[in-house]
Amino acid sequence: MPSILFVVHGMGRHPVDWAGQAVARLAGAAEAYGYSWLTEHGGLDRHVAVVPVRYDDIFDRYLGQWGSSAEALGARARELGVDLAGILGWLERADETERNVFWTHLVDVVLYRFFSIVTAEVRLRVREAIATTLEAAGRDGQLIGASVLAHSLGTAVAHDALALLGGQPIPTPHGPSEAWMAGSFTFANLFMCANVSRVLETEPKVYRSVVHPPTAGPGPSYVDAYYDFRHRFDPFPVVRPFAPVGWGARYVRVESGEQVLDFNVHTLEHYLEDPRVHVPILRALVGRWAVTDAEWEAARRTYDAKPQPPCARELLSFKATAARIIALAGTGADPTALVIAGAQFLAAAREAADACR
Amino acid sequence: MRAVRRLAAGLSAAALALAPRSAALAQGPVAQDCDYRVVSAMDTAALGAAARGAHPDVAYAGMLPRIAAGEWLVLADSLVADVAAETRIPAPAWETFRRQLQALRDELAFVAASADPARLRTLARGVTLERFRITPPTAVEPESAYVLFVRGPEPIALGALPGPARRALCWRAMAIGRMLAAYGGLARAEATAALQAAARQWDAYGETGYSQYPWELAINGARFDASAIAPPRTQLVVLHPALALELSAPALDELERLERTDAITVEPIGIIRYTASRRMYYGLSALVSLPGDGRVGTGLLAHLGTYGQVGAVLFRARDETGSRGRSVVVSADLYQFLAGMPAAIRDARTRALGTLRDSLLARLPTAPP
Repeated sequence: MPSILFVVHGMGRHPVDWAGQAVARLAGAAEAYGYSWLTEHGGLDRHVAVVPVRYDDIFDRYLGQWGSSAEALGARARELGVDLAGILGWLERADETERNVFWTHLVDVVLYRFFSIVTAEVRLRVREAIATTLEAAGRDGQLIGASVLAHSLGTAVAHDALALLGGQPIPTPHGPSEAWMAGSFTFANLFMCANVSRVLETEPKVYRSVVHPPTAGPGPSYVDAYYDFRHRFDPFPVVRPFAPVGWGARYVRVESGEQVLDFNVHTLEHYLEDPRVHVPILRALVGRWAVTDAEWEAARRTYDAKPQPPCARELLSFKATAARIIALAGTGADPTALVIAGAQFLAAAREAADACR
Repeated sequence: MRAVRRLAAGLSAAALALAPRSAALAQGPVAQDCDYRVVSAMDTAALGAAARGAHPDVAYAGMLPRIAAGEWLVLADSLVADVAAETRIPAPAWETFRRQLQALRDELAFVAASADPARLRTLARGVTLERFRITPPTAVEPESAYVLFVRGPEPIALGALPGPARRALCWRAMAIGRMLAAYGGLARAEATAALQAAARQWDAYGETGYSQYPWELAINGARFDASAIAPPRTQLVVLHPALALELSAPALDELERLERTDAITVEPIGIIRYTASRRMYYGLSALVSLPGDGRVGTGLLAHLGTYGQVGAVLFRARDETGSRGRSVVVSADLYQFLAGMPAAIRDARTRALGTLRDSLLARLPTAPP
């Protein structure tokens, strides 16, 4: 049975082989933490085909046309119905590191959330990439186990793309097709790391779309299981957090540990290093037998004992800064708060890492 | 009817009971019966003949001639007959399975009786393709928590069933699942082709569409549905600056005295419309031309897709000779197309456009925040 994992990236630019590092972290966990069944049975690669999904080139195209300047982005947008005033005002006051982080990462959030034409193209590209892969894999009556692993901005993108794929007929020359809609197709798992789908939601809304597990209530559901991972020191999922009520046993929320192996705890690699995150993913993809309960427990202990960056003062200071940003982010409820908290956090992580060198 | 009986025999209860369990002991007994990742990895050659016939992949292979012939209703009837003869499954689960199978049979019959069954199948309408999906446990649920019909009114907890009954249900559900996957194949291919066609439209829109400044993207986006599959067909042009060339001659019979002047153009407002493929567009804009001599002119500018823009300055204050200074405005791209612009000018144009854009934006009036 083909098991396919689509990996949807977050903010920033990603080379063609960008998924390699993240998947290597996932695949390497079997060796690193001693998951015997997986190592004896060929590792993750033998059981799961990983398909990276890219959309950052769309942002590149627009930014290339405009040049990276706040004036170019916002000169008229604020007076023409696009609410960038908060972001642009903050950007004028931001320090250099925060500004750099904005232009290399957070600007993607602005483009995706505020410019419908960009939003539509990203959603279409992701839908098309997923459908093309699944269509080829599912020929000849093959049953497919399809899962999606999304990170940061990618969680909003993945939600929106799946919500449209599963909830909206596709216009074809013969009429509206329901071939990929809920009822005709189901994703086995949706793994969300640093979930920002709610704060960036437009239409369809995250609590009302088909992207929920069957235990969330009546109505068509597009995923068998929904996993929501967040890190204690990551402020991104704190702004208008994704926190559905009554989604039942097939919604699995995981608060990963407080370990800070790298100052930027927001990266997908940092998430996947944690057994609290990668074991549920491995089990869901391969089967529950991929990691035994005893192995999982041992892996958690090993992970929690891993050394943090070797500069106690910077680490303490970074944690305090992150906690302050998270406290502020928790009071925000809109994309502007997300952009500001995100830029401040990434700048703080970068400065702490530089100071620690 | 003979075909129906033959298919039913392939899935008989006796055959299911005789099938040995997988040697992959890491998986629990429910996974060995109900997880297709495990079942599909079984060595069917090692199974007894009767059990082999019941294996979902073998049973599915037995359906292939009927599938190729499009005899979906015959297949459904055979499955209904097979389940009706099944005696090992406890009554509530058996009854649920039978009702779900009957519902599938009814859906297929409805499609077959419709005016255009092929169209309904191509659109995946009328039949619930995922009806027989088996849902495995989450990573944190008990290993036996497999469920059949989890989205239906009567889910069957497979872990609670005795082994033979469980296998009888699961292997049938998997075989039917494959049959329905085959049924939906045409529709998936058709819908995917539509998405791919839309992706090509976006390619063309991105590569050859008229560039948009941020405020234009915001305006055009405000009236565009982000759920749409295809890119916009029309595009407003608003306060769009560019570099162009003004061509003027004293009179039509004095074209040998044609003068060329670099100019900044601004399109205060305009509209363009794309062809269906988004590879070409046409449109019309109001034009303000600011040539090097500072004599501002106004007129109209036509958009000719990837060829560029051509326009006419119709109104301009008279100069000292009394001339209105009417002229033709040609975009740098079109001028290059018409006259063959040397590479050095092209490069200079690219550099100038970058500088021009920033300086022009700084001069344009801004609304109070």
